[in-house]
Amino acid sequence: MVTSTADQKRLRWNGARSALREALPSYLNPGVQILAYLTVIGVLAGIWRLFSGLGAATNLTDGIPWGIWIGFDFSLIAISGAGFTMAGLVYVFRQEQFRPALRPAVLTGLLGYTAVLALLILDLGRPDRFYHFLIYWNLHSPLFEISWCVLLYTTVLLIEVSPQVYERLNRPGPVRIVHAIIVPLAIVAVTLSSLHQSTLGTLYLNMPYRLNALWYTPLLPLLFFTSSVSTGLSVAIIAYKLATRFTGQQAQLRVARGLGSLVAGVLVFYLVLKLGDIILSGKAPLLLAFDRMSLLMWIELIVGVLAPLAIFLAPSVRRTEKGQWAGAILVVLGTLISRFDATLFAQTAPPGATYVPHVVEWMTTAGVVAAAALAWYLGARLLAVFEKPNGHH
Amino acid sequence: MSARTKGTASFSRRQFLKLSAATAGGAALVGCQFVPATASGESIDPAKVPGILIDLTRCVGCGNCQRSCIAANDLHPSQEELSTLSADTYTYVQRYDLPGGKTRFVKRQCMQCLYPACVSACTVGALHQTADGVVAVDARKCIGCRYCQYACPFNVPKFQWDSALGLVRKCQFCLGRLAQGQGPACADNCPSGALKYGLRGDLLQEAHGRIAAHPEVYVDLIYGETEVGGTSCLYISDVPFDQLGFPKLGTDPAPHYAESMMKRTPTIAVSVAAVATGIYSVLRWRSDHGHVEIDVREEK
Repeated sequence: MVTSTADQKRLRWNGARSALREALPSYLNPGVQILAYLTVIGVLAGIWRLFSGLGAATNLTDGIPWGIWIGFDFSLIAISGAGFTMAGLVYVFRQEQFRPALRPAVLTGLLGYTAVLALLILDLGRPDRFYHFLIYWNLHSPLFEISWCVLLYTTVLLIEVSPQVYERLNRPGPVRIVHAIIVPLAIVAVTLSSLHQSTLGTLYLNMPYRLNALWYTPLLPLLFFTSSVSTGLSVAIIAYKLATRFTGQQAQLRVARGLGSLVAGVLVFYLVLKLGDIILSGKAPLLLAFDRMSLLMWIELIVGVLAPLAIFLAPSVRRTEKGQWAGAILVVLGTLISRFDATLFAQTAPPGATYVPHVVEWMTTAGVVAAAALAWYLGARLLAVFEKPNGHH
Repeated sequence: MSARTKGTASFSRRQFLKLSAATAGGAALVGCQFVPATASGESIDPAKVPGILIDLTRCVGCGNCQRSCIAANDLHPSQEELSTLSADTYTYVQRYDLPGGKTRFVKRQCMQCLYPACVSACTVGALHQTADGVVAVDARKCIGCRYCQYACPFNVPKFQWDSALGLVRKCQFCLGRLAQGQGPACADNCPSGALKYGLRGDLLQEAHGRIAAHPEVYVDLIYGETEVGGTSCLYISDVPFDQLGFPKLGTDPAPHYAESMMKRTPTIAVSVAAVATGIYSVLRWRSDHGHVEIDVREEK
């Protein structure tokens, strides 16, 4: 008896090993290899930065103290909005038709916020004191609130993602527990996200003399929140398409089409807010000046709002695979531009201050993003990123 | 029949959009009005805060203030850092050669705002206002996030870029010397009488007196009396301030805008959670109701 269970064990082990050997080549595709190299380079550059300090590892100065780390960080927070928008859509608004896109989006959210934390810690002058916001409180500080929300929400995301792991491990117990609390969890996710996505806009309200007037408006919190919703939903479209591709499943075009119409609705709301604010506050001449700042704003609006709006509002384009990809990618690109505008390009730096990112800044940023992408790819292939049909109710 | 079940089992699109619009509108109402209120600096008596009156007509640019500051604060500036504010230069004297052969010297340092934006912005409360109203950095708390550098309307806080463990530093009005009953090193060591240390209320009186005594010399403005809600470092000058690199700022306290939003945090949190719970409950009730109908039909 003893030998036979040992045999069985060995057989199972051998089976797993040969399965791994068969599957391994498909994991070592060129895309994965590139991501892995970028990750390794990023980790080494990150370690070097931690020991050498910000002056040596970056081209940041007292004139321009925030660079691409913060730019990508704030963009990634909006991109990771995929998690709360989809959880809200499926669990709070009970839009069951979007459930197939839920799990890839939540996985994106978790890995996105993990990347956010990594970049944020790299950017601190004292990375060893990253936990200080837990002990020393300043309720007036937008960054204090954002830190807390990101920490709490990442914890929520960990719980939300856990069924994808437990289902693979055939552990129905924990899956049931998470399922029992999933609605309150989604409400907490929506609340924490509404707070910090909007507070990201509030953060810039503390820079009335630094942020260009075309960007500076009391509506910044609402604008940032709104764009996090359109960006989150667009990222959910991309994540869903990629996840179906990697798992060899058939993507349902109507899922992306439905999300696309929602994105269009949110973009219209955003456009009305943005243009309405610019016109009502008498800044229309600034927008029509067609100088550097006005052009920056036009690029931001055309790439991130007008072009995707044209795609998602045209029924014939919205239905096509290419149209859905293009629309979603444009929204994400537009958010990237808008967050970089607010952080870097639309900031009035003191005279003489210049900033061209240091190669270590690029390597670490690319490394963190590549690591998140790699983890996402492996997650999509190894975890239960799609629910079993009728596995819920 | 199928249309009927679709409409009840999953919430209809029109209803969904209406609800979303209502939610967004509610959020807009809650979120987007400025309410005049500033929490930072509220408990400070603006007349009793220690300050410095800087009379630009009396400054000869000797640099004694900078040398005393370096000695008093044990700073180690490099040669280039001597002519700019840095983590090792809390004060320096900027030279302005003006048209008409006039030369003026402007001492720069932390303006010591009554409503400091850096204190309001600081993630961990390292920047703080002492009970006397002095704006200082607690080096044990600072994490080096550098948000204060963006919040300061005078571009004052500076970061230790050369250090592997960098912090933000700035003039702290020689807190240690103040505790011993002395004035800040710069003011105590000014040989020309350009710097005068005192309580802000007294200094304002003095400044108004000097301008009134020589209206033909002075510009009729005390820079720092009203700028961003008032500062404890006050300047008077015979040359218009915009020619001497002083930023034109409003009279609203700089942290006013962000703080008016931040104090809504609990309201927003509760509203969003309540609205989300409400939406879920209504939809849940409706779809449960719908499921009953479907079940009945399926049984037939």
